[in-house]
Amino acid sequence: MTATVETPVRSGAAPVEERAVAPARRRRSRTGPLRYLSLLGLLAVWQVATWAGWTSPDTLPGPAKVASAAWDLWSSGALVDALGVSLQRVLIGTAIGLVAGLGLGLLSGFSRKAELVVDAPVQAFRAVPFTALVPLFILWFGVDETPKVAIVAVGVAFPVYINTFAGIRDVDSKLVDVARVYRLSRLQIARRVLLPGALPSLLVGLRFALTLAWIAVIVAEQLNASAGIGFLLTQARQFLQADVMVVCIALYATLGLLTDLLVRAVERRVLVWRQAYSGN
Amino acid sequence: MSTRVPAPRTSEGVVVEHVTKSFGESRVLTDLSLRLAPGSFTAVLGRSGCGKSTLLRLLAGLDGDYVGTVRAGGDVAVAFQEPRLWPWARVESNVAVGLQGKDVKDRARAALAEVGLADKARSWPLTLSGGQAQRASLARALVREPSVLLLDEPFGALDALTRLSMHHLVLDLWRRHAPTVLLVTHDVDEALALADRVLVLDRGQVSFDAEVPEERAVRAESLGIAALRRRLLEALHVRPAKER
Repeated sequence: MTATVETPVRSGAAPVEERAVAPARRRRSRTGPLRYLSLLGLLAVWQVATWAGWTSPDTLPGPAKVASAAWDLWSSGALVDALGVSLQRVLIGTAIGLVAGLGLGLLSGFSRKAELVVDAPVQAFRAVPFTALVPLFILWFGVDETPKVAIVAVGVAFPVYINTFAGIRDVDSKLVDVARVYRLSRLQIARRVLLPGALPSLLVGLRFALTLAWIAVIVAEQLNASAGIGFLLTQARQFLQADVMVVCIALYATLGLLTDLLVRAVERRVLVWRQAYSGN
Repeated sequence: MSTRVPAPRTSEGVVVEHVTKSFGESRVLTDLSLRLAPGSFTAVLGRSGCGKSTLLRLLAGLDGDYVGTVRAGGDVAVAFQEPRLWPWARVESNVAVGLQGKDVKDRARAALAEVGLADKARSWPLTLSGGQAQRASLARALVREPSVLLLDEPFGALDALTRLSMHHLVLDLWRRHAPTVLLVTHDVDEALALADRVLVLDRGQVSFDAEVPEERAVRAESLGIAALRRRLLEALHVRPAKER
């Protein structure tokens, strides 16, 4: 009976080892303090350079001088006022840009027809550096809040649109097939498959967008404003106050970092399911 | 055949009539006709690219772009080659996709318990091993007690022992709920262990069609099965090893 001793034809796929993957541990909490150590080191070098006289106090004052300038601006209330004005512009502009970018991104992501109408003009306008629109916006919207908010909104809308659209189109069609087999409606597919699938990319877009929002508000405030951090910076330039300029720049850096941390916190919350590579 | 034949459901099973399907220039299915009796268990064998996965996609309603008639009555469930779990939904939510009713979560958990994943109901899919994910995807197909169950090589990536217990699980479900089962595989032994009828698909047409003799329990020792196995391998163009 040769048939029974024949080697059975096995299926080609290799058996998958039954090994459960341990949930990713949060590494960031352990490396947290270390991340900022190098920054402190940089500050120390800067201070030493000032003491040693390698830099001129007129062009680059040391950290101590900058800190005292920051304290003066803070206690006079000028810093708080400027911060409030800029923050408001960023928030309103981001909200508008986010709604526009997200709305258009979802629309052209979900529907081929909408893509035909929306995508080409958006891609064309994307090539325009949004800062080039400032003079035009001043012409259109005058010199009050509107042009500044509009610039922020434009800066935010594009990266949000592009990442939302790409995120939706990158969702694995095999996962959509599952929804189609089990007769989910188009709306359910959008809500339960496409949107969660696009979320990682969307959040990346949001991070880019918030960085651009701060750049946009600076540019707008430097060209034409009577309040805000950008205005403070322009004023400092006129009076050759290098320490105030550095304060403004440091403030921008801080605000940029804080908004980034905010989005990352949101990311950690809504993307708990992810098992991303967290570095070596 | 003395096997207990399950009472057929009201559905007419699966009907494929004169179906031709092309991708651009290349024809994948050529005037294919096929009838699967309600409550029957059929295995489709074929080499890679013979059109078996395409046939399954048509039956699942995932591809409407073909010539001819395809009817797969009632609710269709599919277990795919890969798990295809939504990574952003917990395992139990993945299993319960598209189910309606109050006890959906309980049913999903019961199905997970059947595939040995009771403790993974609240886990995220990306924390499962490949075998666990595949079992969860089987639970997703089995939980809805479908009238047509399409299996697209769902056991391929499992280790030999898990594969055997999944075989038993599918047979159990089939005996209890009598769905029309179509199992796509390229594993001859798997087809002979599970199905009552084996088809070979070759260049988009059925090139071989036979009933599997004997009760499942005694098939491993059956001479009739050995003979059928040889004919099947021949139909699949597998050359026997030369005697020395």
